[in-house]
Amino acid sequence: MSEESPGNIVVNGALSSWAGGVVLDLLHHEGLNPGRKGFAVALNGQVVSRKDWPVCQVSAGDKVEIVTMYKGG
Amino acid sequence: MPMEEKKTGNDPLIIGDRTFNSRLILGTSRYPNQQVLLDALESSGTEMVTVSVRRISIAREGESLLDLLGDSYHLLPNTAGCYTACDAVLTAQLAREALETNWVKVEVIGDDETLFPDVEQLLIAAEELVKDGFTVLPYCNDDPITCRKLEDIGCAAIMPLGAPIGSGMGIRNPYNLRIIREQCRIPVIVDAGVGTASDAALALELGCDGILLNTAVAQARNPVAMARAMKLGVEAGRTAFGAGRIPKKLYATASTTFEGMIEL
Repeated sequence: MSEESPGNIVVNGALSSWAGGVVLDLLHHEGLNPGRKGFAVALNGQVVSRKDWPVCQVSAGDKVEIVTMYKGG
Repeated sequence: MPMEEKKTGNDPLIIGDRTFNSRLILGTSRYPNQQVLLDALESSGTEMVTVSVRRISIAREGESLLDLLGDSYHLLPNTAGCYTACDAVLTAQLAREALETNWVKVEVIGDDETLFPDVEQLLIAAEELVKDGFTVLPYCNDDPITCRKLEDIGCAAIMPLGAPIGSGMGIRNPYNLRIIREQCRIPVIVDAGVGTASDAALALELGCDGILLNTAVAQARNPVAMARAMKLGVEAGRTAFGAGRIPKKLYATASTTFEGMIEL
């Protein structure tokens, strides 16, 4: 099963099955609370602003990064 | 270039559009536990702390750093771990989206043993981020030419290293830091290498405007006490800088006058 296969996306480096939808759907799919502050999403190397989460489509083969803030120096 | 005669130890640190009463910036990593982190931050008197941007872990979602720190500190996201300008720019943009801040500590590492900056990539990243509206604080070498270029690009401050990150080696090249301070108009924050309070004091005595440190406090035997020592070191160094140290001389000068001495 390659990451280019229809129905798969890569979320934070891990292959994930994906039926299609927008970023907001993906966050629910990943078990995240979209109302929570302090995290951000990049789709294929571009930041998707929070206001675009309900409309930005995530398609098979896409690479998604979901990040938040951790301790750092 | 002579420094202005206004350094009192109590004068605020101004970076970009923000004013800080503390000249100490602390990292939030490597503390023994969260309570020690919170106590050390409070003990240090810091107003700005660094945080990192990492992939969210569903398992750890409950442990929000933002909830832990609350609104007590100005958060400065870093781009730690980035090896290319491209990665650093995307990381900064993600931090801006997540934190609703345009401030970023830009770190582009060139080598994973020394963690020295990759200057070429750093300059590219800094320029792109400044153009994108960020308030850029770059972690850089203690090289006056690099620092001048970062200032020319439009960075809000420059953050030359005192020694390698986490090394605790102190201020390895005080002469370069003096040149950097004299040649740049923007704040100079020594970032990395500070091991103990006298290192912080020395940096401020040289005229540097502040210190960013993490390991020296987090890994001290008593992080809360070391945080307090760093606060005092920074204040002492800044005050001494403003007071103006005496010139160093090879030979002695008597403190007590010879006038009125007895004669045998």
